[in-house]
Amino acid sequence: MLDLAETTVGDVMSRDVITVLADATLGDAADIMIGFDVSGLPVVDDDGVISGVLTETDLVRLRSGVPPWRSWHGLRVRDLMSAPAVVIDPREPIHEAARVMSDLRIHRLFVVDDGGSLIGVLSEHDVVAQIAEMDD
Amino acid sequence: MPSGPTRRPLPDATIGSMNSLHQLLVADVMSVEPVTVPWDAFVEDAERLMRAHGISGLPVLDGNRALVGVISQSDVLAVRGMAIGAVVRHRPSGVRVGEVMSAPAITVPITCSLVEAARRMRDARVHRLVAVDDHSRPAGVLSASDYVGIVAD
Repeated sequence: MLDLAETTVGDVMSRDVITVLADATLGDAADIMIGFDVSGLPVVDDDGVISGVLTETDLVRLRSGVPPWRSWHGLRVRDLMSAPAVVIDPREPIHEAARVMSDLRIHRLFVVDDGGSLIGVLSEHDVVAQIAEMDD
Repeated sequence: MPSGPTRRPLPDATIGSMNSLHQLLVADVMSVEPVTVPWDAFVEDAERLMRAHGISGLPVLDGNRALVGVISQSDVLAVRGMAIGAVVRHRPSGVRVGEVMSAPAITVPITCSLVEAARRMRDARVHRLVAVDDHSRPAGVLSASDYVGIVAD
């Protein structure tokens, strides 16, 4: 039987992470989110080190607020991303990951190794999937 | 500061124990008095409601206040023509909620167990379920964030 108290971030995270570069345009970032059906992208440099996060919420809020004389498509990811990224160690228990997501009202955490390189992502979906596997 | 959904404290027996998840029902955890949007509202109105309440999806109702779908941030983001139209013509896109929402809404009875509801959320690949009463009326919304909140306790 699944014991949530013992489960770590590393047990549950997804290792396939769609990333974006800081100098990509917001239009490209939106296309990536839509195309890959993800709601947030880690912003990484060429060494895979994460510097920030850009989310669907960031894009939707920007678009609702943008003055009519500016097109947001020309802006870059670095202009809008949140930095630093909120990250977590894969050895942490998932209840700790859940606490961070709940306290900060965010929907995903990026998982990094000791060198700060991105190794995975843990999202709310993953928490739901763990609960879905519990016995009735 | 967004007000967030209406949430009540969990029953005392459940606090601090993840194993008590088995005992919880959708009704114990869902947000009550959900914010909804009419299907003939403009997408901009849905965006505004999501922003004001700090939520990323809304149940959509028709003229008879029947549940017809859900509109989420993802649906809104995918309306590609909106940004260009707003920039060039300085007026709302003219796109209605009913045109871009996901339909039908994925629902769950308020009496369903939280574990079963998690399976439904996982299998439907959605971020939220609309919790319905015996008459299929929306009584609340159960979101993936609610599950995170329980595991965090």
